[in-house]
This record gives sequence, C-alpha cells and structure tokens, in this order.
Amino acid sequence: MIKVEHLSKRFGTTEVLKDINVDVNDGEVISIIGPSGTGKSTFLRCLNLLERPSGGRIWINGQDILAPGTDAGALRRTMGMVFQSFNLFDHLTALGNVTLGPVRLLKKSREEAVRRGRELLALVGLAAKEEAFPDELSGGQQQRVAIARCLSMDPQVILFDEPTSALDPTMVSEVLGVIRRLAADGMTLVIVTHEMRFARDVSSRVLFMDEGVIYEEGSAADIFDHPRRDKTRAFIYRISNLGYHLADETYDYYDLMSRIEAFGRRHFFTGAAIANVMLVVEETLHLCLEEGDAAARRRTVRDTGGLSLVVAYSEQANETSIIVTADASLKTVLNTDAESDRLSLKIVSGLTASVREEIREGKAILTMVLKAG
Amino acid sequence: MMKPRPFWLLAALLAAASLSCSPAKERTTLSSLDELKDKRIGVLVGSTHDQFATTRFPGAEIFRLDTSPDLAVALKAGKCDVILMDANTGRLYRRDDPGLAVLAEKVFAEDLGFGFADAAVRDKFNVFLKELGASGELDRLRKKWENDSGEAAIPDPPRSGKNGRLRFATSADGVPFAFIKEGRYTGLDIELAYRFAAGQDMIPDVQTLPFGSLIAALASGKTDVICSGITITAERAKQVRFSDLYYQSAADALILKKNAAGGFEQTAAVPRAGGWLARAKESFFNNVIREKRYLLIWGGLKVTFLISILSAFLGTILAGLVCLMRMSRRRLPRTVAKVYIDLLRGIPQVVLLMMMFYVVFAPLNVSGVLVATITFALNFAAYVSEMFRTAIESVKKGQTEAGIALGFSKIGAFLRIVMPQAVQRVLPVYKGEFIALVKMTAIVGYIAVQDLTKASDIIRSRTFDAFFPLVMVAVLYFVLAWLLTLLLEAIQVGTAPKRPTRETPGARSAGGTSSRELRGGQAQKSRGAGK
Repeated sequence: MIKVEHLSKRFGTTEVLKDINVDVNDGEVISIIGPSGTGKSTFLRCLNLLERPSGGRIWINGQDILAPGTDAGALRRTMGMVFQSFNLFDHLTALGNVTLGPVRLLKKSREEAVRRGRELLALVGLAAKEEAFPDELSGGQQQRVAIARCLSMDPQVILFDEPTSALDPTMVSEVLGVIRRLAADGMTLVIVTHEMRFARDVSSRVLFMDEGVIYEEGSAADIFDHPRRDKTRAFIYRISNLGYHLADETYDYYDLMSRIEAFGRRHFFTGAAIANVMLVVEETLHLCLEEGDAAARRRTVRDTGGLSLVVAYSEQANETSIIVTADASLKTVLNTDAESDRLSLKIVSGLTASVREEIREGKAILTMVLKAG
Repeated sequence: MMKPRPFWLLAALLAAASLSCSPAKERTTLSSLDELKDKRIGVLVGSTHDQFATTRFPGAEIFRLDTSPDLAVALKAGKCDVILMDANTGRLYRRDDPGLAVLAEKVFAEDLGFGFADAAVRDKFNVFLKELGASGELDRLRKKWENDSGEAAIPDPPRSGKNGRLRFATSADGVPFAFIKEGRYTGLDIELAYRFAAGQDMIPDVQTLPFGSLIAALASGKTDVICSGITITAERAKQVRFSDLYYQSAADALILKKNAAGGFEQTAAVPRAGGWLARAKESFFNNVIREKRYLLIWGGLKVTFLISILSAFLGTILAGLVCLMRMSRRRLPRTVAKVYIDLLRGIPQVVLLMMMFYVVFAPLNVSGVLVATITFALNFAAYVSEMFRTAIESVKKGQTEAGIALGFSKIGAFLRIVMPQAVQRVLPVYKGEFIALVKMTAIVGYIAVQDLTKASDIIRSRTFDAFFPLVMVAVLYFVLAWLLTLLLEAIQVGTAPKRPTRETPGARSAGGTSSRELRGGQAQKSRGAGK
C-alpha cells in the first residue's frame, strides 16, 4: 500500500535521506531501527508530507502523493501518526482529543464520535480517564490516548515515531502492549523504535537505516540473529558504547571512572559489574603504561597520539567489552612480559571471558570481553 | 455577583470631597500691579495675558493653565497669588464667588475678534458685524451676555443650510463669550457664530479645544473659525485672519479678597453652612444637577465607552494582523511588524494622538472620536500583538503538528487547537491592557473630543469646584473599568476548559496502575479493535 522510490530529503546542505526504496504491504508491521540522526524520523515524516521530500516518489494505494494537487489533509486522514512527545491537545479532555478529528474532519455526529471515542479509550485501557486532561495523565497514559486519537480517524496505516523514547522506563510496557495489540489485530504499522526486543517480537520486517539509506532489511530473525553487514552487526550487538581518549599517562583518572560509572548506571549494570569494568580498565592501563619498559612505552603512546578506550555494551547479548586501541608501533597494548605485575594480570584474566590482541590497519587493538555478571 | 466594595468607596470619596480645600497659609497682600513682579501669576496658555506677564514680570513665577476656571480654582486653592483674565470673565467669576477681588489698576485693554482661515469668509463676517452694529443689535447682544450670562438663553443653531457646514472652534471656558451650559454651547461668541452661519445659510459645527491649541487648529485646517474671546494682536495676525473687533474688553488681575491690601470684610466669604452631608448634597447639586450637568457626564461617559470599545475591537483585529506579520516566515513583513511595534510603543500616546489629529488627519475633515479611536487602536495593537505572539508561541508546537497529521489544514489546526489555548493564556494580560486603554482615553480632550474627563473639566469651569468633579470622574472611571473587567472575566470563564471542580481520585495516578488498565483494555477486545 506504500511504495517509496529513490526518496531523498535535504535540509540546507545536509542530506538526511539519500536514496530510500521500500514497499509496505497491507497488514505488515515494519520496524525501523538504526543509530540516532540517520533520518528514521524524517523518513516517517516524509510519508505523510509533514516534511516535503526533496526528490523521489511515494505512492500510497497507487496514488502519487508528490504529484501537484495532492490533498495532503485527505492523505493524512488515512495515515495516523504517533509522536515521541505525545502532542495531545492540552485544552481538551482525553475524550475531546479522540473526538475532535472525527467531528471536525470526518463530519461525524457528536454522539457517534463520542460513542466511538469511548470504545477506543476502552481499547487502550483508559475508559475511566475520559474526563481527564492531558496534564492529569502520566506519560504512558498520554501516549495511549494519542494512539486512540489516531485510531479515531480509522486510518489505514499508523506511523509511530519513537513512541516510547520520551517515557519513563516503567511506562514503556503499557504503550508497547497497546501497539502489540494493534499488530495482532492486523493493523498496518510502521514503527521507528529503539526498543530492540519489542521490534524483534512484533515486526514482520525490520529496516536498518544508517547514513540516510536503508542499509539492511529483512525479517526480524534475519536482522537480529544473522545481521549480514558490518554496521548492522555493530548496531545490533554493541548497541551503545563509551569512548574515551587518553593523550598520555597523565589522563584524568577520576573523570574516566565517573564516566564509566554513569555509563554503567544508564544500562542498569549492577554495582559489582560497574566495579569490574572499572577494575579491568584501571589494571589494563596500568599494564599498558606502568610496566616493563614503561618510559619508552609512554613516549611511544604520547608521540603516536595516545590511546583510545571504548567500553561497549550489547543489550542484545548482555555483553560488556573493553577495546583499547594504540598505534601499531606499541606492538601490544598489555605489557605481559615476565617483569609485569602478576596481580594486575591475574585480575584482568580473572574478570574477562576472553582477551584478544591484534594488529590491524596500523593499529594495535586489544579486545576484552567481560565475564557475564 | 455585585460586590459592595465600589459603593463604599464612592461614599468614602464623596465624604472626603465635601471637606473643602484649605486656603493658602501664607498671606500675601496686593494693591498695585507692580507688586506682581515677584509673585506667582496664573495665566491661560497662549493668551495675551501669558505674554504680558512673561515680558512685564520676568522675576515672577508664571503658572500656565489650560482653562480660565482652572485659573480660578488655582487661585482659590492658593496655588498662585494672582490670576490674569478677561475683565468680563473675571467680573462674572467675582459675582459668583464673593471671595475674589480685583486689582483696581487695569492690566491692559483688549480688542476681541473672531479668527478665520479664509479671508473671504472673514470679509463676510465683517459685513455681518457692521450690519449688526448699525442696527444696534450688537450692543443689545453685548449687554445681554455681560449682565446675565447665567440666565441668558442661546437661540437654537440653524439645523440646515444649503452651503454646507462651517466649523467653529472654541475653548468653551470663558463666560460670557463661550461656555457650556446644560450641555449646550452658549455665550456671546456662540450666538454671533450661529447668527453668522444662519446668514450664510450654513450649519455651524462647534468643537472644543484648549485655548492654546486654537490657533494651531486653525492653521492646520482642523477648523474654519476660532472664537473664544480672542484678543487681536499683531503677532497672532500673522497666522490668523482676524475680523474687526466685536467687543472691547480689558484684562484684569484677580486676587483673593482677603489678600487685598487694606483688608476687605471677611464676612463676604461665607463659610458654607451645614454638616458634611449638607455640603456633599450641595456639591452634588452644583456639579451634577444644576444646568443639567448630568447630561455632560452621561455624554462624556458614552464617548469614553465608545472610544474604548471601538478601539479595543479595531486594535484587537489589527493586533492579529501585526502578530501574523511578526510571525511570518518572510523577512519583510516581520521587519515591518517589528518596526511598527517598536515605533508605537516608543511614542507617548498624547503626542501620537495630537500628531494624528493635527498632522496625519489634518487635511481630512474627520471627527475627533474617529481619530481617537484609530490612534488608540494603533497603540493597543502594538502592545496586544506581542501578547498574542507570546501566547501563541507558548502553545507547544507539537500540538499543531499533531493536528496537521490528523488531517487539519494549517488554518484549521490553528483555529481548533492553538487559538483556544492561546486565548485562554492571553486573557489575563489582555484584560490589564484593556483597562489601561480605557484610562488612556482620558487624553482625548486634547483633540476636542468631549469624553468623561473633558466633561469634568467643563463642569469645573462652571462650578470652580476642583474636588467633586475630579473625584466623581475618578469613581466613574473606576466603575467603568470594573464593569468591563467583569465582562472580560465572563469571557475568560466561558473559554476555559470545563474542568471538574473536585480533583478526580487518582487523576494523576502513576504508571503503576497501568498493567491493570491494560488488562481492562484487553477485556474489551471482543467489542472490536481499531479496524
């Protein structure tokens, strides 16, 4: 029902979408995933002409919507959109929000709109809140009203623009529950999301977007279990990472540690897991900069642009890894010769599941995967 | 829901008003003109007396006021030691108020004439004066007004004329030449004006301007004739085509009787009898009932109300347009709106009003009410457009987008979603600005519009009572503003979202209850889902 060919969109000189080609069939549930700032939301907004595409063509039910004279209002009535920030009408009650469109745009009678509105509020579990104003509702409740508002227009497809990103973690599930419900009922959905498990469960197809193109697409199993291309794989497995650059041995130890702690908290690490990451990083840097021919090693590090440290966490695999990269002239990041501190080595090997050193593309790369906490 | 508050206030103010103002504490005795040289002298702005006092007594402190009655009030209140005014006006003042005395020494002689913009009309008027003088009618008229100006009746002005209208401007504050009684222009000058107009088969249009503005009004074409007991001087003749003299008068110096050298009988200044209630009653009778002065007040109130409502209405529409331009995506309208707002907010309203009247609308014959309405609308729009803008911008942008995504047009989304919220937010500040506008209209007297303030000026000019008319007008403004606030409050309540007065139990429930609700939702599944 939606067909997109060579879609592009630029804001000024920035090219956000380059060449998007995609088909959406009736009843499909499509998830769009990918790093932030790669045009996922822009793509969604192009579909209902909230953004005017710079090039390419879009057909909805066989109608070319970029042709001059397209009634954008009529088009949007058939495509619901749910926003990240809910965007409920603040001056109307929950019931008012779900009846405004039907009464004003579909010219339904007030009685009919109210009857249908109550049905829809019941559907999203908010029958008791019809008299509540948006500021009296929690974020999750507001987003459910927003979904009901979309449904009130009887759309053929609903576009979700990161529907749970602005929500407290405790409220995510109530919104996802409603979306699952719609998917199960056979509604056509296009969902931009960062909720990987949800995308995996609910989608009939997953699009991975990066750098303004659809980088990889496939079934949920294809994308999440067997991603074929590098960036997809990196995204799926290492969903987030913390990068830190050390110019030389005089790095700010406390700053580094506090960042690791904040990173760990953001991903709900246990206290012990955070302590382990910190310990491994500290011992690794000790082995790198303080052991063996320390003076020469430090000079090499300083002269070749320092060390780069990445702490990567994969939500999918629940796996934390630490990658330290230095110039190839350092040969190894960890100094593990006979002179080295045995205790440091013991700690590193005790807390990691694997340690791998390699020289690639002029870089000495140390990859350590921490044992599962 | 009438609160008693304003009426208690009214009563308290009336009580205060009835306590007459205290006389000057310092005693100054005067007997000859030369003694004025270091005194405080009250004169009419732009009058020959003003010029005389300034040149003759450089060491004196000159008080320039807008109307003759203000001078009398200032003298009685001890604000100045002596006032200069036309001998006839002064004589009538003295008759009405035994506390006043005149210096025996005449100040100077004055030849009074009518002022004209057009020499041809002036010549016709001279012919008219000559004929009137030849028949002895002019003398009869002079006597009639000199002797008994309070009782003399003014004939009705001609209501029709084949040759259009003739515009007269007067300060309407100088008995017996031109003043207002029972809501009508009256006096020697007015009767002459009516007779002349009738002879020319024209309809006389009389308007009130401050004395100091008369010549400017004539020069800028706002009026055809000025008549207000004006003294013919060589300097004025440069700008005004004067008629022949129609009245030989002189300037007098008025002082308080008790300050006259040698001492007059104090018994003349009778203290008003009775308690404060009786005095309040007397004040009320003098200022409101006598000469049907309530007509003036009622007329002024109507004008104030009309200008306020009309300029608020026009100004609000204009504010909408300016706001639209100000929020435009294009640069030009945005800049135009910004310049407009900055300019209008940076000019004092009085100056703007006079500019509109004497400069912008000078070539057009439009009524002062219209000029005032337009001026206040322009000014109101400058302030209110910015209020509109902030209110509109305070509505979260996402809501408009959600409306558009739902299928509304941009205008539809604005009308259905942004407007209702913006209106609700702008009303409290709008209310304040509207009240400010009502009070601001008090300056329309500058351009010859008789509003509430001007009505009080006119009443003061007849009763020489400064306190009562001012307090009365203050109370009337207060009541007017209060009633209009109630009206706007009613609108505010009408547009507010209908919130239940009690807090719904659990209205702000946290996400904790959600799983139960979701199950509740699923239980409804059999009723049919979204499609």
